[in-house]
Amino acid sequence: MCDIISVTWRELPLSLVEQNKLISFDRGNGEPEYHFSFREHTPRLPVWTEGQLLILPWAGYCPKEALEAGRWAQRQPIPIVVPASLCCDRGIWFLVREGIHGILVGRYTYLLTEPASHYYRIMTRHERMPVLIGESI
Amino acid sequence: MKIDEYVLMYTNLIGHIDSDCFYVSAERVRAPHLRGVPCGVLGNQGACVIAKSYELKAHGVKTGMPIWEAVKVCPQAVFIKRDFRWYEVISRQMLELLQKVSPLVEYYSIDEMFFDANELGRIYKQPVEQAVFTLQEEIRYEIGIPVSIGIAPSKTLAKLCSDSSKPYDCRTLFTTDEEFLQSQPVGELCGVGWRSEKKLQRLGINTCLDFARADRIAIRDLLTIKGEALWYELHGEAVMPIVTRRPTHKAIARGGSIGRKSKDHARIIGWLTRNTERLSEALNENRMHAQLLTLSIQYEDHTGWGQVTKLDEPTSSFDDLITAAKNMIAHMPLTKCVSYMHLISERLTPQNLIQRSLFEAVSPSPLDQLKASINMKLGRFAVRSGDTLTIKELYEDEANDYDICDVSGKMCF
Repeated sequence: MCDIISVTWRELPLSLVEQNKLISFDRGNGEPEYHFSFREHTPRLPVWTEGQLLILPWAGYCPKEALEAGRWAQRQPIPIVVPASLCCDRGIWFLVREGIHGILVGRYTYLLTEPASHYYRIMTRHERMPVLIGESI
Repeated sequence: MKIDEYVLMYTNLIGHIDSDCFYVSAERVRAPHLRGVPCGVLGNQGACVIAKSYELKAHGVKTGMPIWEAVKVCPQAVFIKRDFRWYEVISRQMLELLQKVSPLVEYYSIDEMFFDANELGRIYKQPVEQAVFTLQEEIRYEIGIPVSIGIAPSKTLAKLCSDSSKPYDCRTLFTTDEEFLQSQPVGELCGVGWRSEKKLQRLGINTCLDFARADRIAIRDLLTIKGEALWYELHGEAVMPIVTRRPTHKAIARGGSIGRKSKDHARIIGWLTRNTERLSEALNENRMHAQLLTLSIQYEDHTGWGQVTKLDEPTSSFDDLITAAKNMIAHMPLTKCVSYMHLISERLTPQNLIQRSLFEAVSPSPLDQLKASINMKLGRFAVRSGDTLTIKELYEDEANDYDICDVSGKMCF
């Protein structure tokens, strides 16, 4: 379920790129992208929180239903925005227009997920999808 | 030679604009980081590629290919959900720009337009063969869409010119050109499908030049008057005019896939209701009443079922249409899952030419009119029928509100 997030070079300040030793990826159009993969040994995510763009540890996924039912309340989650221009789920790269909703628990980030729409399920063959900002797939 | 002399020389020029991979280009307008990236736009189900960028095409991905096959040949490809509402916005911008440089514009399809090219020289103060490149640049700069343009004495030749200029080039023909026609297979002609192509090939007609040199009467015998019109057009005689307004519909249909296939009666009624809402809206937009309503169903095993109802009065009223549609669907065997549904209205008459009854309500009804005015303000389907509540995904995704057939005014699908 959305295990790689791609951010264009324009969205990440150079200082953040250098500080976090991010390696760029070229999809063939000469516009570097930065990939954040959950499969990495120490997965990380870019997040907007409190008006700041940070790169923080990616701890996993949080079902939106559980969050709304209050099952994460004890951990005092803080809503965050994960900037993304593309996402990859089961090898399918798809366009993301604004970003993805997430939460921050301490210094750990979680991507919010919800049951996949019919369209998303057919596209990726996955039962859950990321909670996208301002759009649905 | 002065510019005015150029203008006077070319009196019967028709232009054809064809957008290069239009859906992908439209997506790139709002997502510029996709430029140069292999991209595919997915269809209504999210399963098949309905449009592809040239970069994706270079990997061997074809229109209609399932996404899981496309990913195998191009793992770095990016896929995008279709958004016909956005494509219409871009298409209308192109139409508007073109109407500024030409007095006659035909909205042929969402990504193709014919226009009277005789004014190009005067407007851009350049010879036509240069002005066409200026127009191409202007469209790219103002709207962000790369287009190929053909200019020729007839629509058929203009379309051949633009098709052969893809991607992103222009070709101007002032008279018919044998060398050019020789380079074009006869199947490239708009109106010559694969069956006609086979028939022509049996007579040794393989290229457009062969077609133009063939006996006109023989072409008419083989391909009717439509083929004969092509013959004239290839000789540079414009027999197909630029049509600036769509001719009156003979039938209006709405429908398509019902999302995931289903046997659930409430869900099927939901789709029937949504399709009826769309049909009623389309009839009112075209100011038409229908007297015949056909319901056509396709099951998951590709078998079909259908029924026709003659309506009591010519109508466009949602209430009249849904009553008839529900009466028909009550007879539908529901032993298999339904995949597709179409509602087709026929025997159309203009709304203002109906003999009004003393006893029947006027269509569109006041309720339909109120609904239409609210939806015009708040967005399509802001006010909708409760029966559609069973189709949850319709409300979760605004893109479901629009389909390619909802782009009105274009000449073909």
